[in-house]
Amino acid sequence: MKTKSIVAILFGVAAAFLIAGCAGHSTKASEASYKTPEVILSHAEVPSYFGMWFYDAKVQPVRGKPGNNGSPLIYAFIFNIKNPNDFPVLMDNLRFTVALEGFDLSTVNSQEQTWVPGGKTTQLRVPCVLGMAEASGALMLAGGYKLKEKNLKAWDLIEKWWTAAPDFSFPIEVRDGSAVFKADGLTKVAAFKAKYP
Amino acid sequence: MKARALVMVLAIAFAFSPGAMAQEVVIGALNDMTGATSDVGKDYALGVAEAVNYCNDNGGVNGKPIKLIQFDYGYRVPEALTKYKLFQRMKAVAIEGWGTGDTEALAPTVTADKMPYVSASYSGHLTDPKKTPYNLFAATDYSTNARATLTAWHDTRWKQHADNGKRKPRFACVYMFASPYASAPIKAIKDQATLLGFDIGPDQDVSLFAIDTKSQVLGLKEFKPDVVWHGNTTMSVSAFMRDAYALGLGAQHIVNLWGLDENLPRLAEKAAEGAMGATVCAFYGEKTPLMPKVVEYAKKFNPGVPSEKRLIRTVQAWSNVLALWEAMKRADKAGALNGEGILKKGFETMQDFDLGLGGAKLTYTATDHRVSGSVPVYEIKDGKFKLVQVTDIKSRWPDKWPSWMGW
Repeated sequence: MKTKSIVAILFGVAAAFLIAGCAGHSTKASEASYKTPEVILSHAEVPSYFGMWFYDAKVQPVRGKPGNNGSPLIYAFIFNIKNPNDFPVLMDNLRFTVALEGFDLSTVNSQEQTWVPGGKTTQLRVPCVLGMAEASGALMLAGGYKLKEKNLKAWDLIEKWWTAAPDFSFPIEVRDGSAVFKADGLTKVAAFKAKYP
Repeated sequence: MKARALVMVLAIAFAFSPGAMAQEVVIGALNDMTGATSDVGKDYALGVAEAVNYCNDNGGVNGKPIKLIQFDYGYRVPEALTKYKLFQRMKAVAIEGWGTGDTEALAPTVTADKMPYVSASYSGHLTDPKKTPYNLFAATDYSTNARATLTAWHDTRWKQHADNGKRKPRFACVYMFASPYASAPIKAIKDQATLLGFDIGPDQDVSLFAIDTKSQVLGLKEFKPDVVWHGNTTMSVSAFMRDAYALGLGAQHIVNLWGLDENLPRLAEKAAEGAMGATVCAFYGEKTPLMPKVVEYAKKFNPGVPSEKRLIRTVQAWSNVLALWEAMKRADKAGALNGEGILKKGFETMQDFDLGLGGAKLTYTATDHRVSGSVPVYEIKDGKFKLVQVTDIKSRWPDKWPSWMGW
C-alpha cells in the first residue's frame, strides 16, 4: 500500500514536470508563423546625475589615487519589446550603439535572457555609463576627422554633453540596434534605431 | 522491479522537463566598445558574438552549447580586472580578450590561474610559452608581420627601384613611442632592416590621436626614406600619409595591422595608393572558404549595421573564436575541458590547422606559440586591397627563426 502511494506521488511529480515543460508552448513556432518581435525605444533617462567635473593626474585627490578622473554620465534606455506571436519568445541578447550629436560613444550589450509572453509587450531598461576619458579617446581617435571638419574640440563637446544631459537639449541616438529572439529552436533578429527626444 | 520502473519514469520526466539543458561551456569576452579603440573594437566585438553563434549552430563544444558573456571594459584596466574576476565566478573556461591594455594587465594573472586568454594583441612578446603560456592568438605576431612586410617591400619594390645596386635602401619608423602596441615590433623590424641591408633613419614620434603630422614628415625630409613603417592605428597613419603626400616626402609606406583596414584608403585616399601591409586574415567579404558564413552571420545577427561599415576586425574576431572553439573541442574529447587542457590538449595539438579565413595555418607547440612564419602581404591598388605575396620568413631564415621568438 505504502509502495503504491509512493509510486502515485512520483507519477504525480513526473506529470507536473511534463506539464511545466509544456506550459506556454501550446503553439509552436515555425518558420512560417514566427514573426520577428519589435524593439521600440520608449524613452531615455538620466537615472543618476553626478554633474560635470574632471581633474587630471597632476591633482592630488583628498582620498584615492590621482588620475584622469571625471564624472560619469549615466543614461538608461527603456525599450518596449513587442511579441506579435501567439507563443512566448526568449530575448537572448540586445545590443545597440549610443551616439550623441552624431558621434558614436558606446555600444551597449544587454545579455540577460527575458521571456516575452505571446501577444504581450515587455519593458526593458538598459543602462549606459559614459566616462569622460573614454569619450575623449573615442572622439579624438575614431572621430578625429569629423571633429576637424566641424571645427569642434573634443573637450568642448564633452563639457556641453555632461552639463546639458539632464535637459535633453541635444538628440541622443540609438543606432545599429539588434535583438536576438528564440522560440522552439528558431532564431529571429530585430533591427532597430531611434532618436530621443 | 518497481524501483526500476520508478527510476525510468523519473528519468523520462526529467529528460522532457525544461530544466534538462545540455551543460553550457562558459567563455568570457572583454571588448572595447566605448573607449579609444572602440572604432575597431566594436566591429571586433560584433564578430566575436557572431562567431560564437556560428559555433553553437554547428554543435557547440561536442554538443555542449557555448555561453558567451561579453563585456565592454572601455579600455580601462581596473574595469578589465573587475570583469576578469566576474568571469571566474561565472566559471568561464577561457576568455576572448582585446588589446594591449587588458592583455598586458592580465597576463600574470591568467598565467597563474591557467586561464587561456585569446586576444587581438598580437605582440611578439606573448609568443614565448615559457613566459606567457596562456596568452594566445590565431594570428601571426606583430614582429613576424613587420619582418615579412619589409621583406616583401624589398623583394618587390626595391628590386625594381632605379637606385637598386647603386645605394642602400633607406628606411624609417613612424609610431607613438609611448604606446606599447605601436612600439612592440620596433626591435624586430630594425633587426630585419639591418639584415636586408637598409640604412635606418630617425624614428618619428606620432601620437595615435594625431591628425596633423607635418612636423614629423618634415623631420624625415632630409633623410629621404624610400620606405616608412607605420606602427600606429588607421587615423594617425592616414594623417601621416596625407601630409607626406602633400609635402612631397616621396617615401612608400608599409603599415602594421591595426593601421591597415578598409578605412585607410577611405581616409587617406590617393595618398594611400601602393601602401603595403601584412594581415592575419582576409579582409571582410574577400573570397575564402568560410567567408560566406562570416558575412551571413553578420547580416543575420547585426542587420542594422551596414555591410560597408564591417571591417577586417570582424574576420580577426572569427579567427580567434574558431581557434578557441577547436581547442575546446579537442580538450573536451580528451576529457580535459579546463584551462590547462585547452592549452595542452587543445591549442598545442594543432598543426597546420586551417581556419578557412585566409590567414596562416595554425601551429602551436609547447615551446613556441608563433602560429606560423608565413604571412600574406597586401597592397592598396586603386583603393582596394590586393595580395602581393606570401612571405615565409621561417623558411627563408630557418637558422634565425628560433632566436626571433618572444620579441
